[in-house]
Amino acid sequence: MPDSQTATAVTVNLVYLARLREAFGRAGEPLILPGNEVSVTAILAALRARGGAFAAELAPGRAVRVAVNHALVAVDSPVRDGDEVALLPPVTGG
Amino acid sequence: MTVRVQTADFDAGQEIASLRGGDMRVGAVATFIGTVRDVNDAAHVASLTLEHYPGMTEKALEAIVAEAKGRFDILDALVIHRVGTLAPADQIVLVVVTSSHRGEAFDACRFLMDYLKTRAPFWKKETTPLGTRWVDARASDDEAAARWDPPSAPR
Repeated sequence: MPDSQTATAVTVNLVYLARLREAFGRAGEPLILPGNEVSVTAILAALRARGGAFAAELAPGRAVRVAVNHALVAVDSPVRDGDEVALLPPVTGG
Repeated sequence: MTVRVQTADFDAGQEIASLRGGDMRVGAVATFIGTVRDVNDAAHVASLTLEHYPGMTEKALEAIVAEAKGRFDILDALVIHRVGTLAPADQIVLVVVTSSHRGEAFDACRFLMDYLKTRAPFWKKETTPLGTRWVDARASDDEAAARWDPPSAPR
């Protein structure tokens, strides 16, 4: 365990797309979480804890997919400092 | 193997000729063009705005094309997807596959569209007389893509 002298944090760059961008009122933001490595699950939990549109849109069971550095990942995937973490509503192209 | 994301329209004839090149091994060319309907979910659609996730979109399309190349005996493939605001009857997406024989060309073309619909980061927003709305994903699209999952279901 790191002590207070070496405590670290992970900063990720969140990107919100399509419906989520409109619901959250922003295209993205940096998010700082304590630790050397965090999971997608921890990021989603931190966002849900804000309540409002974040809690509603990211509620368990809502179909939101996550891409880390432009690749779709499972929610238990690790995320590292500097990663770009995008939240994607179900895609509707074609 | 080429993928392009663009606001400009495309000319399918020109793209097909370019993909075929002078390749004498080509015996089959399968093409799919998706276009904008004027009615969706019982509402008149005045326009459709397509947005995507720049940086990821091209990678996702390239991965889908690479997957098709691995699964089917095809010679070449092209995917063009438009973004921006489109009107009814406008072209949205073009998929072209060349192969020596039609079966592989048909299958690969359908596979590319089924995977694109469920894996490429594009989103449609419709403008109707009632306002704008994000288009909902369809369960039928997931089912279409799942048909290609191993172990392969009968098709």
